[in-house]
Amino acid sequence: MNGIPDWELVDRARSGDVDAFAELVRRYQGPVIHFCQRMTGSLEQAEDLAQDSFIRVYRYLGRLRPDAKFSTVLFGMARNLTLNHLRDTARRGRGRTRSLTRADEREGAVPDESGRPDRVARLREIESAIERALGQLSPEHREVLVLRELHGLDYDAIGQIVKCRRGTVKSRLARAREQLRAKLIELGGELL
Amino acid sequence: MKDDKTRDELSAYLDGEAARPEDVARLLQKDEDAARRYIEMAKLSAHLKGLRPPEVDPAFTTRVMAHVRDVPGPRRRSALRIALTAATAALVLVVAAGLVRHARLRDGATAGPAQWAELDSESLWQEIGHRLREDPSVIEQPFAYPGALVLSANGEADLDWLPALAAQDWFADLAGALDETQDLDALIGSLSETETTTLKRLLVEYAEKGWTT
Repeated sequence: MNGIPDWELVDRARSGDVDAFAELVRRYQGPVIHFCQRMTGSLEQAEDLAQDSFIRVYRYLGRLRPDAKFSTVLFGMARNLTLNHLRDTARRGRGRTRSLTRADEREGAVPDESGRPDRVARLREIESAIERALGQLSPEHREVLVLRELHGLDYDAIGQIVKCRRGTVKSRLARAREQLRAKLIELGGELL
Repeated sequence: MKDDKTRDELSAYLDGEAARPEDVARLLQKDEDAARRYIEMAKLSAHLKGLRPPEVDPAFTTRVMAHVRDVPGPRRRSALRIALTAATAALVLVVAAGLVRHARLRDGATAGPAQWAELDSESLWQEIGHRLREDPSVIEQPFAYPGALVLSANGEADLDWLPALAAQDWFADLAGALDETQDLDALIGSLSETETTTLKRLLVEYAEKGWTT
């Protein structure tokens, strides 16, 4: 099913072809989990939220229309659920998302980095600082930054997902970048 | 350019989204401070893009599909089903709006959110049914994206707060239950205190923006 367009898979899934929906899950599980992870700071919570997002989208398949990309629809659902989760967590007094490094969560595959230890250590340091700084941004700023920088979405797609106008996306992204830079300086000086 | 505007334009230029890229390019050539800010943004952007994605659990798809097989299969909703769902959502909201209004009046506040809240349940249901039958947009523009229940009971499509409402598990369950029964009083009565609170909060938010019925 590799080359089949998303909306065709949606049509097949509507007709009861669960394998078609499984292909959509395989296609987008990485990006959706990554988005939720950057928003919540927890891989475990991200997987739960991503799972809920796929299930919710499946439940609503009969109502979807191909007015936007399927990925936009999916990210929109993941975003709604993630914000609900963050609100609920904050209300329960555990509202601080925490930064996430590999060591915090599941052990990932370690790339071959022999021969460049100083550079690798430096990159790790920067990565860790950026993750911490990202975790300190407001959800509204974090989401646009993640959708733009990590997922490469354009302003129109981001606007559809976060339900705001293109001009708002533009200024929110610029403010998010400015705040991220300020947080980085707070956290560790001239890391860049 | 003013400072915030410069920041916004530099950021958009970096993303290839500037409305007038030639103006930004000229600015970068003549303004050292803008050029420095742009370089910082570009570096930060490169670092962000370099953040590694998490390892996806190989069993993730299997887990999701196990749940998917447990939920009722997706169906294309018939016009009647959509209308019933929309009508019931409207009814639930209006009844809850009545509760909110009642609470606000009791607290000395003025102006309730809905005229419909004045009607008894049966008249309300008839009114909603009448409006829905006359308004094809309820059927023509049902759901633009999951959770975005576009309800047009008052001729105004796209109620912004409904996606937030529909993202609630209990609301999805409520909408799903409509396929089985139209016992609205029982459905409304089945909401827990938390669910009712959430519904009220959403209604108040919307009522504050303006209720147009």
